[in-house]
Amino acid sequence: MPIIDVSINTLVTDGALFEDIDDVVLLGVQAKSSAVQFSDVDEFSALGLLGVAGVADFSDLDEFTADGFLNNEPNVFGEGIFDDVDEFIADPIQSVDALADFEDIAEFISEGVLLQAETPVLTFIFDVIGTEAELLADRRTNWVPRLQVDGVDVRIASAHLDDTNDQAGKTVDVNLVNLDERALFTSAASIRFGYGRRVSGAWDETTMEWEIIGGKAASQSSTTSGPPHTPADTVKITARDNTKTLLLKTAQTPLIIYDSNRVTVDTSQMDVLLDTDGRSYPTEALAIAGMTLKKLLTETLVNRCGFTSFRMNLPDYPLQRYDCAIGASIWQATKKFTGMFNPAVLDVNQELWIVDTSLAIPAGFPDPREVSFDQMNTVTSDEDVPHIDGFLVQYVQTDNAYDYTTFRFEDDTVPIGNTIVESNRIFIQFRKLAHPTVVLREALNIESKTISANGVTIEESTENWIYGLGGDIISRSKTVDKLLPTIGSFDQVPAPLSMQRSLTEYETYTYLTHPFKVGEKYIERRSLTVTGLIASDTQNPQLGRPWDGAFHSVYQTGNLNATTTVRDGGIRTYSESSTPLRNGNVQTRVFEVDEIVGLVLKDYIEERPGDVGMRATANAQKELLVLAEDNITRTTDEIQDFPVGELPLTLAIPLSRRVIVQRQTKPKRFNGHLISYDKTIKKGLPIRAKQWRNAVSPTNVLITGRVIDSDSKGTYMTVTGREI
Amino acid sequence: MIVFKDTNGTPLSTYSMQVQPNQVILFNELVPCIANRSLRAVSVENATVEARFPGDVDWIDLVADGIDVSAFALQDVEFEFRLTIGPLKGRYSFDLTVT
Repeated sequence: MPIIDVSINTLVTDGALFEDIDDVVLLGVQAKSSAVQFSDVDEFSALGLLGVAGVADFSDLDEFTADGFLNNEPNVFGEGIFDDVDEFIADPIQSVDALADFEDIAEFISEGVLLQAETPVLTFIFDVIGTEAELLADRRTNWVPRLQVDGVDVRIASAHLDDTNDQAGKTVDVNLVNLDERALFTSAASIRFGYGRRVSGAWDETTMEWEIIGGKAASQSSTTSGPPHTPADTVKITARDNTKTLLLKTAQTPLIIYDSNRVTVDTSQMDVLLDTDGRSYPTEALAIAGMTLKKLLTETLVNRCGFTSFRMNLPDYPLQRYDCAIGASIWQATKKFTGMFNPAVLDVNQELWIVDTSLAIPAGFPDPREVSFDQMNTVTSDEDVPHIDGFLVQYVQTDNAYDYTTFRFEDDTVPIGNTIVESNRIFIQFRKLAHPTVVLREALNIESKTISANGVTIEESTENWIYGLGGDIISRSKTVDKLLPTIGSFDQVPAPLSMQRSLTEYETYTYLTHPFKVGEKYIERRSLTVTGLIASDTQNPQLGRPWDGAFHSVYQTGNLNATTTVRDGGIRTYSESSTPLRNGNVQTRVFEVDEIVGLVLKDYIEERPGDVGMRATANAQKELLVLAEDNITRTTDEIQDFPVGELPLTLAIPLSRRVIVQRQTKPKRFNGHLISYDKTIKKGLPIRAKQWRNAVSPTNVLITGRVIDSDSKGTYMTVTGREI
Repeated sequence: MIVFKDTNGTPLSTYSMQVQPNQVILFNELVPCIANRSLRAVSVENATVEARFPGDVDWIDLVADGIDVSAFALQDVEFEFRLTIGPLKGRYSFDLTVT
């Protein structure tokens, strides 16, 4: 087949195969498809925007060309394969993500941003905890609680370590033996608490397991009765670990962290908070290109809270914007992005772990390690747990953050008396890769008009709207050719007529972040310049100066004569700038100049009612009913809400199904007791719990909390968890 | 998103477990295959990480050799993995990746 020319407005469908073709030409075509293959095609060119998302394979092409000729928009290549292409040209802008593959290309010509293909990573962390014999010996050890203040041992009568909440961080309550040592617990003192073995009256340092390092005293309470130092007197110290201290850190100023690839934040017009000394606390806006959950948590937890590092098994999904008010917890403000996973948060050797508690043991993985408890209870969930069918998953979709565009073409002819108006319109359709069949929005891109009267073309015009990456109009240009007397032949009777470029309009729009409304922006300025042909009549001067006017107007009013000259020049300038006001209105300045005469026509400021804010990211709240499995029938059981925010549906649906199943099967709550201390049992870890002598069947459990009590009789551990 | 998944298709980014010295652990997972890339294990200490296509006899060391997954480009393919823990105690980690 020599040439295939896919006609305008055609969708290349899934599974299309273009084989043994000399030349494939796509005109304004959506080539966004799955499994499109272009085998043995010598040359491929796409005029107009090309969006390739599925498994489009362009291997072994002699030449690949994609021109964003209409709008200077990016060519979007989702998962295109371009191996061994001799020449690859994508102009003017190319945006590549996901799996686009460009190996062995002889020549690569592309302007704009090239994003690297994603590299999947699965991190395995394994604790080698010792042999069965060693673990058994540990269990038989008499573990003794140990407390140090600034490196000095403080004797304690009892200890209660609480590691149960999901807020991360542990607290320990201790009763002091020597009441006078309470003075050591200053606010700056560094506290260490753990468990170890004592041999011949001294600590065996090699056995120490420090649970709290770098902790701080949180409170101190004393009970005294009668004369000083009676046996009933106690001093109780509560200390919290460093993790908890770091998680309580707050934002020093209002803080916005945003993905600069997707949203724009301008803080210049935002309100600035002042203190009583006149110091200002302006909003800090930090741009992170391609922000994801992991990048956000690195910035918030590591750079701002002070953790050395963190690990998580939550999916690293893309985020648009994080907001934290001055004085608000940096950590708490991240929870809107993690809360749906109900994560367990724990510190493991000074590293923060964020663990998805909705996860069961991954399918295909072995059972976790068995732990034998001295006493074990599994408690069936309460009877009032609802019987639910599914979740109404509430997710946020960014309507105007499109992934690619396609075009729709519309032609019409309207006769009006002897006049005929022929219009050709090209509409740009904004689409997302996730929902290729849905048009998010449609906007007029190009309109060409031809007006004829009595069979003679009297005007031709083309108007072109350019849209930015957010789908907002950036500029509009219009050219008008009119049938006018031919310049230089005004002395002829009758003067010949010809089509002449009489008017050119150029309009630009600039946007700023709304100072008062989070996530909104507004049109700060709209500027219009009109240029074109200007007729100048020196024979009929006005006050000694030539009488000038727009060529078409002078012709229309019958003021052309043989000596009229015509030149190109500015005709009109119009500008409208806006500033949002705190009262919800907008202050607008209008400025208009007649460039021909050199006269300011309008220059005033007025307050207009109504706000000019527009959604910068146009996040739309959407709902999707998710039942426990595909293709099951809805019953009359309950439907519950399940908000997931910006979490992509590809992740939100499996997550919601995991939670549905957990609620439907009423998972058991687990409670187990150990005589002694087991350093291998940590919050967030899965274990296979069994009772001593196997009196109860083993159960896979995710540990959600630990409480460790020590007194003169020994150390005891209570473990709580959830069946998985 | 291009991610590893368990055999039910649930995305996996981190997995932690407690093991004993010299223990051998077998598991399966779905690997996102990409043209001109190989399944590899990086930063491996105190362990040997091997994989094979289900049904194959020979295990392939993912540190020394890796497995070319080009033939399955843009598919999630189930692989068998064998993790052999070394003799040392302590915390270790490694990354499985397609690079």
